[in-house]
Amino acid sequence: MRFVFPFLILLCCGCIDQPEQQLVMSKFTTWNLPADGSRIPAPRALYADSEDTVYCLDDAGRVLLYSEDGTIQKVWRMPASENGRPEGIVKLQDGRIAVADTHYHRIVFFEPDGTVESMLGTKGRDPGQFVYPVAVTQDPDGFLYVGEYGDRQRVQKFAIDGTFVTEFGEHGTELGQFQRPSGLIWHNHEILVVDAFNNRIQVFSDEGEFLRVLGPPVDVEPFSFPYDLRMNHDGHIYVVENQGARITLINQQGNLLGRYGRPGRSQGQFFNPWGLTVLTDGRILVADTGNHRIVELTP
Amino acid sequence: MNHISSFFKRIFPAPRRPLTWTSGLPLAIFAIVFALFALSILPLPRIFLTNQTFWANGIQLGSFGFSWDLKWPTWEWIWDLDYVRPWMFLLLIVTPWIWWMQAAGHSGLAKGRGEFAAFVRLIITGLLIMVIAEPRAVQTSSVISVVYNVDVSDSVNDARKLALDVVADSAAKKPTTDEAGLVVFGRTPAVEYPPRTSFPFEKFLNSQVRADATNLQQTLSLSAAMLPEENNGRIVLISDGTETIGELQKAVTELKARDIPVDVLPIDVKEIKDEVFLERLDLPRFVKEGETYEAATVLTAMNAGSGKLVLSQNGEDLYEMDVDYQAGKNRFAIPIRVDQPGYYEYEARIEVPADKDYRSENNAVRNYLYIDGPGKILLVRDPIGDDLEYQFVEKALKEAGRNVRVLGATDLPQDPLSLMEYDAIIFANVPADTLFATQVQAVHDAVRDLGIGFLMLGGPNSFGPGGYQNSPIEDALPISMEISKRKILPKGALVVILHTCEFANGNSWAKRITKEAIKVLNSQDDVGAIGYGMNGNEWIFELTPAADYDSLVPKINAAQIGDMPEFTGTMQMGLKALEESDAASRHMIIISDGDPPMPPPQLLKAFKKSEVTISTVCVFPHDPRDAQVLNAISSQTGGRFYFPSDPSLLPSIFIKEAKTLRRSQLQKRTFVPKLLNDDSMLRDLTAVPQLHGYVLTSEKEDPRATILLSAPLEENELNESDVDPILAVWRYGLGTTAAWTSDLTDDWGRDWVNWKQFQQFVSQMVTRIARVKPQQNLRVYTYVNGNEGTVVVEDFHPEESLLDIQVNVTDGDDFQFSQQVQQIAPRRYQINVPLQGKARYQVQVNAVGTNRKETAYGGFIVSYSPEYLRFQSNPIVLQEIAEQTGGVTLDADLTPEELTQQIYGNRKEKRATRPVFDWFLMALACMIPLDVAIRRVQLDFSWVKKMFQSGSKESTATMGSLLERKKAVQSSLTSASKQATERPMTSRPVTVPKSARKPVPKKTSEDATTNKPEAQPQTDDNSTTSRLLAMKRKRDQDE
Repeated sequence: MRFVFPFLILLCCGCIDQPEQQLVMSKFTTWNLPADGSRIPAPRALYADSEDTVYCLDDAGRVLLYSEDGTIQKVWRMPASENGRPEGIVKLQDGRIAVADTHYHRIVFFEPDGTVESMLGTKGRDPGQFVYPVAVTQDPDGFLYVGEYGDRQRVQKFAIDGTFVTEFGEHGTELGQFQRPSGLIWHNHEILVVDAFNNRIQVFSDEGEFLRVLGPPVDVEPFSFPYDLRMNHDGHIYVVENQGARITLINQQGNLLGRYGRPGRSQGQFFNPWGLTVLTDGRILVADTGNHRIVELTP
Repeated sequence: MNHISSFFKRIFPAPRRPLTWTSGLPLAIFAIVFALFALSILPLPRIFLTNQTFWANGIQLGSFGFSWDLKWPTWEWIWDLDYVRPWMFLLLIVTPWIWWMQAAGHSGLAKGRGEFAAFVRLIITGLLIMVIAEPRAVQTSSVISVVYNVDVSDSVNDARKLALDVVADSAAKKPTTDEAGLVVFGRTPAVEYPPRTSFPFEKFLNSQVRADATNLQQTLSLSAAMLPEENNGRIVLISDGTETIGELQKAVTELKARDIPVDVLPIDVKEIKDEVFLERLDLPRFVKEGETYEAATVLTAMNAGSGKLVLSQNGEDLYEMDVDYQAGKNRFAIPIRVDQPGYYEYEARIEVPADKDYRSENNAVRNYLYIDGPGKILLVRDPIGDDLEYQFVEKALKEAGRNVRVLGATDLPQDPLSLMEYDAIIFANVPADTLFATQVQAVHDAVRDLGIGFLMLGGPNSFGPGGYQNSPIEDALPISMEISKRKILPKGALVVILHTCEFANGNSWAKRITKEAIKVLNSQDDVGAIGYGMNGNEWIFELTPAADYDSLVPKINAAQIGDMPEFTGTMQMGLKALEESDAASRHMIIISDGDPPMPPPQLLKAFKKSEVTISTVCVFPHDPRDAQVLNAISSQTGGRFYFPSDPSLLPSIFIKEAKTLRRSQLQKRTFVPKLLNDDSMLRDLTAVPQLHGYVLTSEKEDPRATILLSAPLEENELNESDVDPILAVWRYGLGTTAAWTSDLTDDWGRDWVNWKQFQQFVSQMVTRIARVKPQQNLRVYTYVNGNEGTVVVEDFHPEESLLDIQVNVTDGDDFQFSQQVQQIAPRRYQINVPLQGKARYQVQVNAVGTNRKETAYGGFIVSYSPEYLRFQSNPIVLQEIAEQTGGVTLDADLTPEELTQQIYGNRKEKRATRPVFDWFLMALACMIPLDVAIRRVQLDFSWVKKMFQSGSKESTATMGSLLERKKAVQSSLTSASKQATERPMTSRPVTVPKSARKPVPKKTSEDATTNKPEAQPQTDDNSTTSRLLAMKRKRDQDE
């Protein structure tokens, strides 16, 4: 004990300022984005389907399809991208791909081959209209949920045929209000919404009733601009933090399970990441936007 | 032989105690350990702290609760060491001697301790030898670091996009562990991205480089400096190879020395079939008013054709003629006639169908004529200002017989040559933001180099409030716009929020406008800037006095300005800082594309409550409607809204905004100016009238600046050593400048403009500053041929003499040329000047001879960059670079995959070293106290023994048993001290050497056992001390 005691003291000194619980990643690799003329675009949103095909949006206004090993399968462009580039993507149950075409205030539905199948919404504040839609997801019953951050900060729910069902949320900092609801997932009849600039995750029923707030406990560092979230196969939730430049793993009660990453341009670092997705084998892909790369993390 | 033996015995004296095999252990262990480390069989741990602030700040204790800001140290294993001076290991020869002196008992230490001490000393010796041998940690890496060098000079204008496409394609396909960086270059190189694994190549180049020249040397040198030493460095040079400045071979030699191959990708300028350009415009050397002369231009064409030749004078078309030209050189003459003295700039322009001409940039050439005559006064006015700001002065000057020309500030020439016809320039309440930087510089240069006078009149848009602080105009004036001494002005605070700069050169613009804004502020004002960087919303620099400009510039230059997703957080940060500031005037500027949502109403209310105004600048919005958000923010907080169509308007906006904080410098009070110094300017003026206001300025700390009139002190002002200048004058360079800090309008100067001596005063003031033209005997003639100018000086003095002539050439930017002129014929001097591309160059000729000293002026106009006269690439130069450095010549027709394979496919292990002797020094520093301690400090180590006997009862001794033990020890110590009170040192068991002459009786083994524990002094009387004591006693007895 007399030997061990001094070492314990030293160890304690070192641990006082140690970061919060770190997620251990056995591998950090990156995927390249194909050049677009004289530039290398940055990824903004990611979605992986059940077959591990990865759908990516970049800031050149392209939709990129990757295989699970990072090989480019297909590339197509948005119908227009002069005003700005899209920010949310999901593959629907019927095989179509829905893209939140943010700066054109609409949802664009693509066939799997990249042709435009249809569009939903126009610019406006009314139900069924959008100003800067940024996130889109679908529940098992086929309903679509769209988050927007323009004039009205809200989430709208649509039937698969585009019929408006309901809406919830408004601009503000109170419970049930949003400042940029930029990521959505549906789980067990609940909608989890990342409320980016309020630094929290809010949970609603899929009918739009506010239920609770998820977030790290008060004694750990709060979220710092959470931009997107995904659930892994253990039912835990990965959150990508744009300002925090890291990913955070929480359970469904909001307890912190670990964090990974810090600001930078090297291994283990991110620069203003926007999105993430999780593959079936547990690998995590992060849209490391500021570094113009997709980061593949193997837990 | 005996000598050698004796010498050897002196070095290695006979042992004082018998040697056993254990005596050699220290040397053996040291030899093994040293060999293992030196041969890198065992790794060396190198410990370091990742938190640099630990060293800077030490251990930080929190205000409450003593929170330690300690960081856990990390370490790395060094597996391979290299030595700069390996022969220093020969010094290891001393180690046997060190060991011997200990082992043989010459150190006077007990055996066990002596062996340990010997080992420690051997280790110290080993460390010292290693430090002298200068160890370097060796790293091997197969990572390839590539720096792409892209030529963006004018000669590759059309191929620039193609070159950047190549970069993007190959960098996007590079192995993810390799690094890529980008440098663009023209006259100078600029780093777009340093080499990193991520290559965030945006759609816009952020660097602004002058494209009127190609400097391969500088770009290659810069790229070589950026390549990390530990990786396989490689440069990919994409250029047309037409080097115009620099010494390429120097850079190539450096690259060869560093083993950095340069792969070259020649840009093929497309085959040119038709090209027409004007080489030069020749004007008569000397002209007289009213006579007709000939202007001749030389046109060069690849093929015969026809076009329209136009000659314009001072921007207005003068003559047009249809011309047929032949392949090769053609000369066309056009008659010209000038009726008045002055400065005339001519431009000849050839207009041909676009399909007959490859480049249009070289279709116009310029030259000038200057006809000396009575000097004019240039009165510069604010284009949107009140006419009365200049009309009183204009009237007074005209009444005094002066030739006055009134010009709006926007029409002011941008080069000093065009100002040559004026004797003096007067600024009548002209704000700095109406002028381009080139115009301000031109006025400054005209004063300094051409001797033209300058006068600034006061008003709300003049001096500091006009935005002239830290400008060349302030340098030229005899007053300072810095208010820091006596006047306690209301302080201002400014926060700049750089929301987004997603447009061409956006980051460069953002940094530039931030600097411009700071320069306008008073040194006491606070300024801060917020951007969206690596850590999200963050201060680029917090509220800092503008006086610290020099320390802020590196922070601004290093800022990484990302696309900020929202306003609210940054506005809150800025508001908090402004609220905490003690500034009376608080302002915020936001530059944004307007896409974030409107900040919450309560936040805007908080701004209003705190009286913080916000001005917003909307740049390149996604949707014009986004501008409404920014407009609403500014209107709700009392600021202004700007929607510039061009980024070049941004600096003037920021200057205008920043100077709103300086309104406090306007002093509105009525007083009679106090005469401080007399001057010809004030000659014969009696009873000067009252003034009703002025702009606060300071006396310049320069004895040459003379304040003639000042504002009298106010009642509450005690310090009489400082004055508020009203009228000041000095000589600046070759010119004279004056500052009148009040106005000469119907406002502050209303009593003056109606004063009967007003005309006399204005006339005398202008006469005082106006350029005086002495008798001129020198004539300067200049002409340009390509990128070389020629200055010819002719001496028309009645008496011929040899002149010492110096020619100075400047371009108002960074070009400076100064050289002695050679005489080439009687009364004729000539020199050739290498010019640096498109610019207007001023030529100043200073001649000194017997009883003579004259100055004459001239100039060059290089109409277009020599880059536009290069119609083919120079792949040979590029191929030579590749061959000399071991690179390859890349083919632009390769697929991106093939190109990437060529650049990144040649992989080899790179061995790099870095110095690690610092670690050895630290280890040495730690070992030396240990060495001293082992030899000089005696500790009771019984507790160590007890600790290892953790299973026994004794190890858990109670306080009682410890006290008993202490008592027993004390008792034995007392008895021992009675026996040997003269022995202050602890005795050590030593083997009695044979050479001991008078051995004292040994203690019996029984006694030794009794005297345990170890801490107790042993009565080993064979020790040196004992022997000495015995000898002393014997001598005492004998005495």
